[in-house]
Amino acid sequence: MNFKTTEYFETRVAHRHPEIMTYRCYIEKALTDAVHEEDDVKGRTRLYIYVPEEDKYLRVIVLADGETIHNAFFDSHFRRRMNK
Amino acid sequence: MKIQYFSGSDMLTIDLSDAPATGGSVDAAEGILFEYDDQDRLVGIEISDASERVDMTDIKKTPDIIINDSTEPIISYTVTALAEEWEVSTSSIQKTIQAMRKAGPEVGKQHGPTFPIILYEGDVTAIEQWREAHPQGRPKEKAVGS
Repeated sequence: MNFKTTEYFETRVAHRHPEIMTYRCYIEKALTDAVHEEDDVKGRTRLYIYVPEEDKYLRVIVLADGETIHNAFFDSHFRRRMNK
Repeated sequence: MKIQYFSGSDMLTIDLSDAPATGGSVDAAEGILFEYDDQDRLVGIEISDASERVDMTDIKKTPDIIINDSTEPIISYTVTALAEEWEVSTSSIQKTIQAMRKAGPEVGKQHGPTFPIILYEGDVTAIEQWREAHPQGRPKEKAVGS
């Protein structure tokens, strides 16, 4: 499966969050197996997936087409928000 | 400090240091993320829907601001994904990349020595052309039914 990303992802995310690039498989997996979904701005969707190697949740933001990856990072507060 | 605006996705970012944001990110307010390094220091601010939240007229006048304006999606593959698409073995693609790198052409991008090789459309075209020009020495693909 190829990977569609935005200029924002390639230009900034890949450099500011380099650890994310080792977890590309989880970004792909989030597209189909997200544990939680939320609306984001501009018709984008936030998808969350657990990354056991880091014991953290990854937030993956996809464009309205449902397949172009716009952003990805470890959400430090996801677990806390879900436990409320 | 580095300020970037991505007009295609309306994202404004302010990097307060060069340190990677490996400490995670938190929502500071709707559409505004704070990014931290591994020592929990604030290293970046990301603003979504920037033109709605910030007066971009002033921001765009900031000296040294970097404006990125592409709206086209960027297609990329891992070696495994490309091998699956071409129905060849992963090692066959890896060998081609190694041969190309040995001969000089830069192919693929790695964010670190242990990171996966990412192949962009230009890389895929270059690999395709290389394989057509160098049919010998590549492992033969397994014949169907054999």
